[in-house]
Amino acid sequence: MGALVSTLDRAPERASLDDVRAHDHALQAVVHHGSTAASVRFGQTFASDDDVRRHVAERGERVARLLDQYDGCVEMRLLMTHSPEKDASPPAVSAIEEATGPGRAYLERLKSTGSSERLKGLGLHDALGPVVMAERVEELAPARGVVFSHLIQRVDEPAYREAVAALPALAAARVVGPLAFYSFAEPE
Amino acid sequence: MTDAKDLELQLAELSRSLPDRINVEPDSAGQELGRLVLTLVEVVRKVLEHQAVRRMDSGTLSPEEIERLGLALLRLSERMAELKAAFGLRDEDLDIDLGPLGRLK
Repeated sequence: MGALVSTLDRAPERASLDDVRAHDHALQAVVHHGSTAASVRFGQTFASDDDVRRHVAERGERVARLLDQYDGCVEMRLLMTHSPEKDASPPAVSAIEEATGPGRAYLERLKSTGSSERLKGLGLHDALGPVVMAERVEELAPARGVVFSHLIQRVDEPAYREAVAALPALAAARVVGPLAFYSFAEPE
Repeated sequence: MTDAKDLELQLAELSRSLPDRINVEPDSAGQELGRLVLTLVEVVRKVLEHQAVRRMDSGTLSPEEIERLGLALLRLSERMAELKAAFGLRDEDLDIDLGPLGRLK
């Protein structure tokens, strides 16, 4: 087991989008290399190498168990948004209210939220078959859609993509991966 | 009676059932009772919201009726938020098992 670290001149005050991208880029490199990787923590800084070693020693057993249990696995994600063709944010509530009225805008918001909950309740685990070892579902706020995270064996990636493509209900879904374990790095 | 009128009557009844003033007891029994009452009100509110959205989608309501219904539900939602805050309750606190009625979520 190994931990990915880098040296900083000083501890950043807060994480920027570039920091998140750099973190993701480093993990992707490991995944593409063929190793099993888990995103255990983001944005941790330590005063010295000894501090890092102590931290890994303290938490190492749990992480080692996780990596052992999911050895050879990767995380795949299915993004199902209500407006998959648009990357832009949905119109602000005030814009909807201006075009209709606060009453109708409220009902439209309820409708949108209901759609997300229905998507969330789909439970794709069974529909995609045994290729999916575990599933976690997260709603995109505010009522933008749902992300299904699936744990699969790395060698099953083509089968997973085929299973997704075979389901008409997932025609608009975007497949992302393979990724390190983001959704499965901590106990549910 | 039209669908919209029917829904508005149900909403008015639900609104009347909410207390105007609350004497929040410091002991947990008072909060537990508030939790149960608000959970029941929340169940009815969710049902009415569901019906309102379905009727809006069915095209049987006029734009004015949709606006009126939406406003009534919006105000009810705001009132519920105030009551939850008064009792020190969060959304997840209302997710209690109501037996045959099930849970809120």
